[in-house]
Amino acid sequence: MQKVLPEKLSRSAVVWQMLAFSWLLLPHLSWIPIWLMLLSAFGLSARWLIHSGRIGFPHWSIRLFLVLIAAVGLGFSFGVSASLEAMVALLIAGMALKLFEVYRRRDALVLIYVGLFLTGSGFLLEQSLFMAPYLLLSAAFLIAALNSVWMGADVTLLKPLKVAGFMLLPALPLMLVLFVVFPRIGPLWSVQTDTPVAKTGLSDTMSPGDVSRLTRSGELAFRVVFDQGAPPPSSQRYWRALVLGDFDGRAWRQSASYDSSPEPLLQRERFVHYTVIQEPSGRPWMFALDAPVTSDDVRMTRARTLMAASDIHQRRQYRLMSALSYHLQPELSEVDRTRYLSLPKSSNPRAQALADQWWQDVDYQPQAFIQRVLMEFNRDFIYTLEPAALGAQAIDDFLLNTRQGFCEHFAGATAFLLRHVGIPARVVTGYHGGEWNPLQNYLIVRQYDAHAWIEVWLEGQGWVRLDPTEAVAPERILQSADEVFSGQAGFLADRPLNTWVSGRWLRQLQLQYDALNFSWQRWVLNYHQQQSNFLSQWLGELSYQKIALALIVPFVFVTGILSWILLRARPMLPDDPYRRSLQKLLRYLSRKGLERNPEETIRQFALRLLSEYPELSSSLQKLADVDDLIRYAEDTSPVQYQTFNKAIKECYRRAKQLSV
Amino acid sequence: MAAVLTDKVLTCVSRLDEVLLGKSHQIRLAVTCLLAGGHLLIEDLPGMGKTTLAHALARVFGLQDTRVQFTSDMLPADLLGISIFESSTGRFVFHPGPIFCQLLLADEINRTTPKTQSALLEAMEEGQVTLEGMTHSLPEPFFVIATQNPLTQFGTFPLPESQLDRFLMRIALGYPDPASERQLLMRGGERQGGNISSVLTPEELLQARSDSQGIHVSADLIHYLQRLVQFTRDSDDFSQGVSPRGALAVLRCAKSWAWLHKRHHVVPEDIQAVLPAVIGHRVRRSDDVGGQSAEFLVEQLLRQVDVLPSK
Repeated sequence: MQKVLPEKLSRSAVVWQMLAFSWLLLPHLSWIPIWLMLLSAFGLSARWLIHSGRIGFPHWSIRLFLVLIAAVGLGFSFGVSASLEAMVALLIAGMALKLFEVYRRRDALVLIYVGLFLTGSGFLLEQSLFMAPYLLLSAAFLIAALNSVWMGADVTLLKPLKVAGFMLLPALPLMLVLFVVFPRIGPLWSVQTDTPVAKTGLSDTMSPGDVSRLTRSGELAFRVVFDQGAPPPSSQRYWRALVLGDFDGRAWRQSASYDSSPEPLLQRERFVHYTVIQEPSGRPWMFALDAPVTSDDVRMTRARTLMAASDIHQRRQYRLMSALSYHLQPELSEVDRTRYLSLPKSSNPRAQALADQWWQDVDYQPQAFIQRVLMEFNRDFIYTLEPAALGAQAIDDFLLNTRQGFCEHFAGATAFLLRHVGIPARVVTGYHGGEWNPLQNYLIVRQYDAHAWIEVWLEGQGWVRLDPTEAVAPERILQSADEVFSGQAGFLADRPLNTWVSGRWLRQLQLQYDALNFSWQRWVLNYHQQQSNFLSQWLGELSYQKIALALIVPFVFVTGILSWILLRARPMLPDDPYRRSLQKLLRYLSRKGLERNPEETIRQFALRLLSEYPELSSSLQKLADVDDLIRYAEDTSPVQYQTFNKAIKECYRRAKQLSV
Repeated sequence: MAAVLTDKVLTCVSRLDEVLLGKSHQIRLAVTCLLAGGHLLIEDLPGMGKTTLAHALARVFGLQDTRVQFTSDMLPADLLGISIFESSTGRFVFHPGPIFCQLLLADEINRTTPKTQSALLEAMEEGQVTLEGMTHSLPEPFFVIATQNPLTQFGTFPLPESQLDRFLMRIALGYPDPASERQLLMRGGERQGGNISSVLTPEELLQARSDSQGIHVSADLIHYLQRLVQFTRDSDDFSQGVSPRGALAVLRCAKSWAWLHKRHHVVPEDIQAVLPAVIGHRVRRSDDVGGQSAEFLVEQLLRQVDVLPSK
């Protein structure tokens, strides 16, 4: 049996390389340009045809041509910018090109190492629950490919994978230890990872149709975990995002100049502590239960909304405290009063006239006026996702003609009416409600939970939340949005299959899936935000020594067990020092790829090596001579042992010169 | 003195090489078998040179040989001899049979009946013949070279295992390699055995035998032999292991082989060289009925037992 491995790759090696490459390519198929797909497919089929001997290795001119195609393609698809996609595409193109010329072991190694890089880059594009096991498998496949490269020609197809499994098994606990304990260091350089895809979400203006448009999407907006476990009742779950104070006749906008300090919040009661895990929105605003009291590290605007320093492109987690019962800004300054009363003079004249009439009817009592407005809504108006289109004077049209609308219509119109009669009012947008997931005790808030309501300033009470939608469609406030809307056209219209799961167990399944995903995001993807808390729970007060120990001890433990298993399988060295040194020499040679077969005596072994390694062979023969004398003639004179030791040394010297 | 004797035996070997072309390993095995004082079984197809080898062996070692062709109607008396009443003396006089020689070539031993076979084998074991209460010693040295056709051939009585055990070695000659066969054909097939002269006297052969058995055997070597034997006893592939007699036989042959190669001590190569011939007919694969796979089995055995002790 010749132990020196052939340089040519076995069938198993080729199959594993192809499999690993295809597996790696699969998640990227959604975005890579078509020419790269073709190049990859071409590379795979060429690899197979070359291996099975149906075609030869392509001529260098063909290879050069392919390289040029790849270079031009990369330049054409990604330009000169070194974007992330361009880098990953470069790796894929490199692997595909390498497939054309894998002949020797070295080529295969290049392919596999590039594959390992590509595995890591998979996370840059997606970090879902499925990506992690998928990429773990791809690492296993690559290691199987690596094994098969070294396993010689007669290896079976599955053995490399089996061995890879056994190799990865002890790595799993170490992976966990590294994940849990290893300190998270900020990136040394950062790569712009977001893809400029328009996200659905609240915008900073509100005109009729804006909020109802969001109900077309079932996308996740954010999730909330409450410290006390259960959420506040649905009627209290108003998630404040933006306060819109300026009206231009059609759209409500954020007021431009706010004081820096938040409006004072007095007589705060019924506090709620909670954590929000917000999905990337591409906008800076964040969500807080009405009304936020403190926020750990997020800036609070004048109108008590939360604003991140920059647009949120990555999932973000923040802790907040809100008071469910409060008085917001009981004293209104003249500037603020003017701001929250200002209306464009000429807009919506019929609505203004209507307001004047009702104001007169209620004898100029603000509370009664509000009741009157809500009563009108309740009596004559229809709450619908798809109201009729409104003309230029939108509020006139809504109040007097169409009389149907969604929450933003009602909120906008109410604020308009109140302002006209001299009651300060502003529109608040955000989300309402959310779906409770009892499996993991958290609240899911989706885009279709988007909502608009108003705040009205009353003497002695400050800003009071007023939800006109409650008057026209109380079920919207008491039930979850999907229960209310599920029958309506337009609801979730943007979902790919446009079907909303209504079956009981399907619903359950969906909740379970979301719970799983949530745990994944919270405990794995967002672990870095909780690492120090988590570790100090386990280790007490954190110090560098403790962290280093927590890292080193498991490694020592695992490597200790591994080496115990490996060494146990290895035969013991003989006690006799001279036999021991002989066995050591033989082991050394077998590591060099020269293995003695069990039935071979040292002389026979030496003779087998004669043609390939004549010098080593002659040294080994000398060793065999003296070994025979000691072992079989039982000549134990000291001179024999000296000769023996010299012969051993000579063998080592010869073996070191070998390049196997 | 010993070296001179070895050289003489090696001269015998080279003479034999000239007679039987391209079979030097088998010739050395056969000579080793004689040196170890055992009987030889040559198993092969007809026309492979079994008889030629046996004849030539007898000639070079200067032994008085007799050839007996075994047939199915042969009786033990045809081999051992018979007492005949002589009217002149009025007594039974023993007329020795062909077995009373130094080298008996028992051709196609498996063609005769078990009765005759056991008569021969008993004589081989005891070194004497007992007939009608009278014991007749066989000459010294006394060798039997038996040939047999493979058992698949028609009209044969296979030797039982217990009797196969009486033979120290079993060898097969096999077809000659192309070069040897060409030489054989060029020579025209004339028998070479007839004109070779003896090199050794029977006394020298006895001396060589005692010399070779006096060779040094180290503890390590015994250990290796024990490991081999133990393997045949432990492994499921073997229907039965090698007996202590078999192990002794291996050691005797290994000593002779070492002596033949001018060594003063036995090395594992010696054991490996003789092992297939010595235990090939003493072991049997557990799933094999015909007994044809022994060689393969012994090869496996050698391959699986490490020459160097693991501890």
